[in-house]
Amino acid sequence: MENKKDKTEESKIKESSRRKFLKSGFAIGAGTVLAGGIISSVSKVQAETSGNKIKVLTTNGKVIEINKSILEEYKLKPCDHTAKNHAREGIPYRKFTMVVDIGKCNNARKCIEKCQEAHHLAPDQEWMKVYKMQESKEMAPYWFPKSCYHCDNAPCTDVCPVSATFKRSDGIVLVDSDQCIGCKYCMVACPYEARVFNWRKPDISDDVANQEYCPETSVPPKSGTVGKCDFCPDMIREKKLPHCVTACPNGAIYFGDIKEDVISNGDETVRFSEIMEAKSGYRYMEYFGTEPSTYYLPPVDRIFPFKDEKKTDS
Amino acid sequence: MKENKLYYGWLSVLGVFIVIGLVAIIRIFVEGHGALFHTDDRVPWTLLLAAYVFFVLTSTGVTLVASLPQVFGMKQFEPIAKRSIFIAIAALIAGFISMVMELGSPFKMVYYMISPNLASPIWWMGLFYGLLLVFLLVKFYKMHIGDWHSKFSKFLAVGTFIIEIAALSTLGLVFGLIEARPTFFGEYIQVYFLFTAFLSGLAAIMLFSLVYFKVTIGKIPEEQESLFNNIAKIFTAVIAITFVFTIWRATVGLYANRAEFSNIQFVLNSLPYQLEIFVGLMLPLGLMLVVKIRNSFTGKVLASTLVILGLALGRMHLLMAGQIVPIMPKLTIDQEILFYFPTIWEWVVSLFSFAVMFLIYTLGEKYLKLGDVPKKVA
Repeated sequence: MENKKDKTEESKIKESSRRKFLKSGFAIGAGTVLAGGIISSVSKVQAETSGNKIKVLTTNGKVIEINKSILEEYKLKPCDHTAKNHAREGIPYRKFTMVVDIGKCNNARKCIEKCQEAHHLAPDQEWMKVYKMQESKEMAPYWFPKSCYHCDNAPCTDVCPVSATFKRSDGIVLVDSDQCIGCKYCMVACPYEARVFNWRKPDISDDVANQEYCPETSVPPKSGTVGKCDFCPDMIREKKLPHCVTACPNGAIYFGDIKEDVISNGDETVRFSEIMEAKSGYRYMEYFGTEPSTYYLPPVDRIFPFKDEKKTDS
Repeated sequence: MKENKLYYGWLSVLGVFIVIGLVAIIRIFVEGHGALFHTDDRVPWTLLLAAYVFFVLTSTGVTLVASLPQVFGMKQFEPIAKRSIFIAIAALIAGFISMVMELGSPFKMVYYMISPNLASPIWWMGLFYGLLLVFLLVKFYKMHIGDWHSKFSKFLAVGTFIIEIAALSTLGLVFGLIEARPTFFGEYIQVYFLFTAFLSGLAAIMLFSLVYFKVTIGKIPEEQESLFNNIAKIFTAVIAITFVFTIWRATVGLYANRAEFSNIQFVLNSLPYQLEIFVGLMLPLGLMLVVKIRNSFTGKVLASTLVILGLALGRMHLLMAGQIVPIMPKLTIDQEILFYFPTIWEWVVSLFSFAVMFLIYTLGEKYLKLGDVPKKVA
């Protein structure tokens, strides 16, 4: 009996430890979950308390204490302009994902605005779009934010004749505008209309225009080439969340790493597998077999009543 | 003298289109497509790509016609073989011009060589059409120097035939592999391309040859009359096949409930489509079924002109049918149909490609004896 009580206590301590761990880890900054963030943030917390020992979160959700010397911390590199392949390889041991909680979206469009600002896009260029969805007149309408799905079986990368668009080991699909010939085949092949063409000379300052181009920043935009949501790999390398995630006032967009099984919207951090199971997460137009990296939580338990400003005004 | 007047008048007309086209091309490179073309992210492929498809399929078609004597031994077609090869070259060059103008960044074509994606049908299409041009040029040179039947010349003829089939297949795959767009996806387009390419080839060789005869000697040379009557018979059969194909396609579209097929109903109700069906297929088919008209000079010229115009509209509607229904979002009751009509600049650049093709052909007729036949036959 006593033994059983001890085990329950031990389990409570472990659970508490795991929560504390997550809390302290993420307290250092929103999105430290990303790209080695856990390891680096844990090391900072633990260094104060236990010398050479370090606590790490395993992929099955346990917190274990190990000797610091056996850990090799992954150094995050900034976008290296001298090595073209660097941007093509991706961040090792990661598989990034986006989860959109549709019930939290009220078409505030802050994600779109922040994305446009960060990538120097024209007002009519939206890498993140918000669609009004309504399957039939009898069914409730809802807002549906959508960017590039960074598919595992991406039709766009298959059809590009010059390999200007490519899939990385961390799941991100990028476009190298230096290499894009502007045939627009990827735009026609994408089942999600995720790609945006630079039809005109971009209206950007000289400072931006003179920046050295990097596929990870997608800046500066180049006329006659294709652009699209890049999951902000430059932000990830800085252990930050993508712009759209942090800009959303309602916390509708989560971003994280499937391998770590952790996603965050900047305010809360949750287990990817748990939220998928609890809220019946799904992928849009799954039947194409494209294996999108973006998941949706159905529009239930809405935090806002649906309001279509355009219709209200008219 | 009259001939000279006509010749220089024709060259002047072509010159005007070429100069205006060059102005448009410079503007495209300076200002970007968006400033001049009626295009956006949901209708990214424009009139120029339709023009490309039209030109390269016409080129493929006349090459198929040239293959009849050279690969399949139908000697009676030899008098049109050299002209066919030359029209194929001119049309292919016009096609390449249209494609380059459609590209947003054509100066980066070096990546086509240094960073090829072998999974991409466009890459293979570019390779095969590039090879086709090389084979056609060499083949034409061999014919021009009188070498029609040497081993190497036969190798070129067979090689050209195989490459053109490969090129046509990969062009079909460019559309047929787009799973996201049901009106493109599947093997229908490849079969449709094969028949319509042959149809456009027959129409082009008839039209170009007959106009040339009219301008130079005023009529079809007597020894070639039966040849052109036979071509007109084959032409009639291929129009009929294309017409049946088109009806099948329309029927499938009308029965389909899915929103992705709503474009077909929209297209069926559009004037360009109706022109294509009634004026570009049914009218010439009706004309060609009347033996007297089929065997007449005017009947052949009229029917082949109508078919070429109909096929040009067909290439356009095929391209648009796959694009005018937005593929996102699927779950909406407000399924919209996008509107696309080419701007004046798109027409100008497309007409530039036509003018270049006609210029090359005209100069060929003038200086390269396109009516040559092998010495034995002559």
